[in-house]
Amino acid sequence: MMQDQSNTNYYDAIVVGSGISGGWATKILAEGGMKTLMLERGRMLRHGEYPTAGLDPWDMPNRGVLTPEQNQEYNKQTRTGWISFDNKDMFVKDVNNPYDEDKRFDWIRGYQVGGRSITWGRQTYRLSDLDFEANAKEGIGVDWPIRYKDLAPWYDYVEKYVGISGQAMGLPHLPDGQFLPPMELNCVEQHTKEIIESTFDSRYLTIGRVTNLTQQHNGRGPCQYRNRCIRGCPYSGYFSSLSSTIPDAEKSGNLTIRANSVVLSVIYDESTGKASGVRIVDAETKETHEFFAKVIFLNASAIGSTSILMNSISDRFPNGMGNDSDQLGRNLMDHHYRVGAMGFIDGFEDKYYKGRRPNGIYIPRFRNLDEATKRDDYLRGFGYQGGAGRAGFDQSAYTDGYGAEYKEQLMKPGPWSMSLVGFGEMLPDPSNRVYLNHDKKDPYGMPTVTFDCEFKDNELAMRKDMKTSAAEMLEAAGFRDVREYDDLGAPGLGIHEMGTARMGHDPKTSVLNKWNQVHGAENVFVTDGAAMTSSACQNPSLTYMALTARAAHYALDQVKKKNL
Amino acid sequence: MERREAMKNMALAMGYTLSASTLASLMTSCGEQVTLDWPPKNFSKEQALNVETLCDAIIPKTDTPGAKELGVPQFLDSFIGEVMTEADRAAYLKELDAFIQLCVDSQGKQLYACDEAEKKAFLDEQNAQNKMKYPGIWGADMVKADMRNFFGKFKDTLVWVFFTTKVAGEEILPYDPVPGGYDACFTITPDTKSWSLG
Repeated sequence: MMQDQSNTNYYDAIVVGSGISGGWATKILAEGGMKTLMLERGRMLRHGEYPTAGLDPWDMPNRGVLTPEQNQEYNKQTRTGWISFDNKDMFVKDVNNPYDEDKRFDWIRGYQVGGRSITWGRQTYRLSDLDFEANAKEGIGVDWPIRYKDLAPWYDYVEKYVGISGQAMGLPHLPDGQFLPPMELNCVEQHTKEIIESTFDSRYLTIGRVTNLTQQHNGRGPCQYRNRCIRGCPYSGYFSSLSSTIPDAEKSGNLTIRANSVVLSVIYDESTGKASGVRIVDAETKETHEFFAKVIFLNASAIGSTSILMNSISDRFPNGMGNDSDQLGRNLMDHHYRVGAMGFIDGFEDKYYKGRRPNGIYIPRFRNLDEATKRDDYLRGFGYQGGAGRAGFDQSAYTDGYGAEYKEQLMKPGPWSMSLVGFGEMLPDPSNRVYLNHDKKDPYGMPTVTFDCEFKDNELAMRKDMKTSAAEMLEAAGFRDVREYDDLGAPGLGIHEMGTARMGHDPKTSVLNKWNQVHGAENVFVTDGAAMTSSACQNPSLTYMALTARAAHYALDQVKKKNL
Repeated sequence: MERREAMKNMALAMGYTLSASTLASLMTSCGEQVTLDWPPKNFSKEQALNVETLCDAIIPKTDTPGAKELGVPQFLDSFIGEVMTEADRAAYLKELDAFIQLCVDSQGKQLYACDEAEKKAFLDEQNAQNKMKYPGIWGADMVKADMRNFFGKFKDTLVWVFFTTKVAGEEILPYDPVPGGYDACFTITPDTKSWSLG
């Protein structure tokens, strides 16, 4: 059947995905004068349309607990343990978005305009050359085709716009950025920081670097300390594409947003040796459409962008676009976490805090930085997040008694406790992969994905250290009843999936070049997590943003020079 | 029934009347026949009476309303119907029945029929057997094996439901829906209450 060939199907640029990196690609391309089409597979959502943002527990049915029917609809998203009435509409219903698992993989998705930039953890840390050089030095995977100096100006660029509150530390392996004033540590965190820094070499504790705004920034915020970010923030207190990049891109007059548009594939034109556009299914009408552009950015999240490339079959690319290397879909990584320790501390009974700070502490990586910190049992390293707080009525779980006295006790601030949760690097391994199942299509006719991915020896060895080092620091700081824990779960749970279309120097061993262009189809850019050559241990979104800004400016320049 | 009459008369003599439910709660504390003034949907009447008694024993009315005044038993009745699968609900009610039976074994009668001393004897026993749970982190349970008994688990749910009622959340505990900032560390007094929203 002939598709609609009217002019409205022709754009300068197409961006697939509206999350954190898609928002950036769209902003830069549209503001750069490109007529840009943003395609989002989920529903339309506008900033401010956050119906649960002001709900208190008593306003929600069943206090927010899902019914068995709802649990079934979200049967994989609920593996996180925190899908509830207040946030469920920002996550996919698994029943409508199936995938398979050779090995368990928790694929947590948000299909709406804004994507997961609405629900993300907002922690933002730069990578450094410790990360960019590691693969080459250790002979793991392939070398990153860029170094810190290539990305540093783009970190600056995005940070100035995003607004990140944080404390400069001067650490070479966790470079400082463009910071708004940091949030404050509470008194137990401050105490723990002092003990850790005076007891252990190379260990530091700082407040999380977070996109929650400590002062008004570019007309947004400041943060109101409600800690309900995951529902969407009516105060624009943190960074999401909905609150910033998308509305700013729209101001250029060059942006068209098309929601409910499930991209099936990128169309390759054998005569030009370039991609000419994308093929989509309208999720509501189930009709297929084709849209054409000079430049295509895939920002559908790592697995989304990868599966679109895999499904883009042509004579030139029989195994998926850009897949001459057979690396497309391989080297799937996440961060491994839910390992660490917690404990209680006495002596701060007369101290308390006001406000629900949507941020915790960060202990930067302190392993395998140099000879002095080198480990024999594993490569790379980990950082800790977490924080200290006083129990409220939830102290019931470990408070003895019942009756009037018990009730009074629950109404007083409870014991102070602190948790340290490690986030560890996962090595790229070609056997950790995702592939398409052409025999099983989703409701839109797209082949479903199957995961075959697991944590391997390096991660498991690292976890032992993550656990004992956390306990060691808490004990040094005087915590009592320190408990270690290790809840491995499965890859995906970190919601930092990445690496399945890695950047590299060589088309024989990588999918993207140093500008995030697909090898062999250079007008297609992939700048989401799929591009990552290694995972580092830092929360990755800031790096996706910087890579996107760099690649989108490069694309603009190449279009200007008529090279694309 | 003499006692009921006596109390009514005493109240009248002191110049005020007692509502049926107040009277019922006074009667409960006397360990005589109690009645339920709401129709349970998922609990049996007997289960509901025991649940109501347990709620009242754990979070009684003090200078602030107790769990019973704030409708927690009714909420729990509806809650188990809404959020549990049929199988989970059946298992839960079986646990509840076993708990009720423990009281019969210990005191020779169900909890709702116990007088204050009997109630205290039984609940002290249950409280002593309940092993504390360690708090979890970000959805990960720190201790895999659940060491709590029914009393302990019930207490957790009850406390959470009670303090997330509108009255408790907005009036009993300090309610600060839009803090607007963060005061990281200040000195409190013995009267300082914990925040309603955690």
